[in-house]
Amino acid sequence: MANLIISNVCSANCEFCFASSFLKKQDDHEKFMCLDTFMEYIGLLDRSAIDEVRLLGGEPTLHPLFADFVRIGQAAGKRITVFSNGLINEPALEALMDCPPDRCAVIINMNARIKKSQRERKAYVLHQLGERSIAGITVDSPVFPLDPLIQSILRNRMRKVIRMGLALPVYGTRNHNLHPKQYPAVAKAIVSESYKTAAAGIRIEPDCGFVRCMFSDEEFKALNRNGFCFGSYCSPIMDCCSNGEILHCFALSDLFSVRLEADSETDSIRKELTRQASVWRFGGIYPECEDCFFRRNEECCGGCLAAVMNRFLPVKAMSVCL
Amino acid sequence: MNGRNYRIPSGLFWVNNRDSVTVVDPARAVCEKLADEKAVLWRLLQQELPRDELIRLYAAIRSVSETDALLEINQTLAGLAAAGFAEAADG
Repeated sequence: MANLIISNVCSANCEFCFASSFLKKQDDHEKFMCLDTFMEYIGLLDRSAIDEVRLLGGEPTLHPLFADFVRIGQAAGKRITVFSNGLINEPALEALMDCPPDRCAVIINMNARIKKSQRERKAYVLHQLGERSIAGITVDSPVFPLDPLIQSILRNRMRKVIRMGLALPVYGTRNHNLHPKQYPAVAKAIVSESYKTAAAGIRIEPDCGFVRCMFSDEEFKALNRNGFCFGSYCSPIMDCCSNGEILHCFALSDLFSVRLEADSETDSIRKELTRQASVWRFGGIYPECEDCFFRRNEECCGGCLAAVMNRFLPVKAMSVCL
Repeated sequence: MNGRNYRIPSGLFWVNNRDSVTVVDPARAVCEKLADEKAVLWRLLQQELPRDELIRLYAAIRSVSETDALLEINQTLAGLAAAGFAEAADG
């Protein structure tokens, strides 16, 4: 898995965005990934036997060559996955509609902060994409009723899946994120909402950063019954940028990255990014993580590494005269 | 009784766990888990206490005499220096 960050600009303005601080640092001439770089990344995917092109931004569909990128990806025999805020322009939408539904997935950020005037367009896009679209939600508060999302999924015949992410921190900068102390409250809300999604035949798939201990054993059983596919992971996502830099993830963009080389493969890139981060992975997001049963049994990764690193304090340099 | 002098260098990071302290040196890509008396000492050091106060509190927490406390502190600092998380500053 590797994400191609083809656009450094976005038409939404989400407080919880973990990409914006990195993207704002990029130079003007790197706002969009050029065709040559895109082709180099297609080469990386080919060498790594990856049959999926994942297009991200910013808002990837704002790229002037977005339709070309989709067609190139298809011609290379790859499934197309797009992460979008739903404000997709007509040429980009047409390119996506040209893809067979089983070869294309558009994950729509359903709680992206967009203007009122843009809502109509988003509703139209969702209706057009239908089964090509998957609802994504970023949980940035312990209160998040899923009723409107469920209605939207059913009304627009979207895939019966909700991709659920936690609003995670970005190391070294400030975004709106959930504090790990809020996770148990979030967990209660997830369990409560999972009864509604289960009744509608909708599955919830968690994104990275979830921890097992945020759910009690009873809650965990209820989630399993309600189609919540729990997974706890935090590993290099490999966000591939327009400047040839490959990041561990946006949340750790200032710390861990490698350069794309002519013979790079994702396995070796992942290993190197894992090595760079390994010194910080002693425990997890809570002090209790160090001897946690779930962590020892590899049921839990200990949470988002950016949240772990936010627990660290710089050492006060000093002399000790005994 | 006096011991050696040590410097705790800058550029390190540390975090409190439930039963220990972890110190990371990103430049050398190494980390060290400090438990028991090492964790106690590290936490006290990071409060930047005067020497006498450091020894007094350490002795109270560890239930040892101040003489023994000074011995233990010296030993722990020597261990930290061997691991590269402190530097002996004699001479």
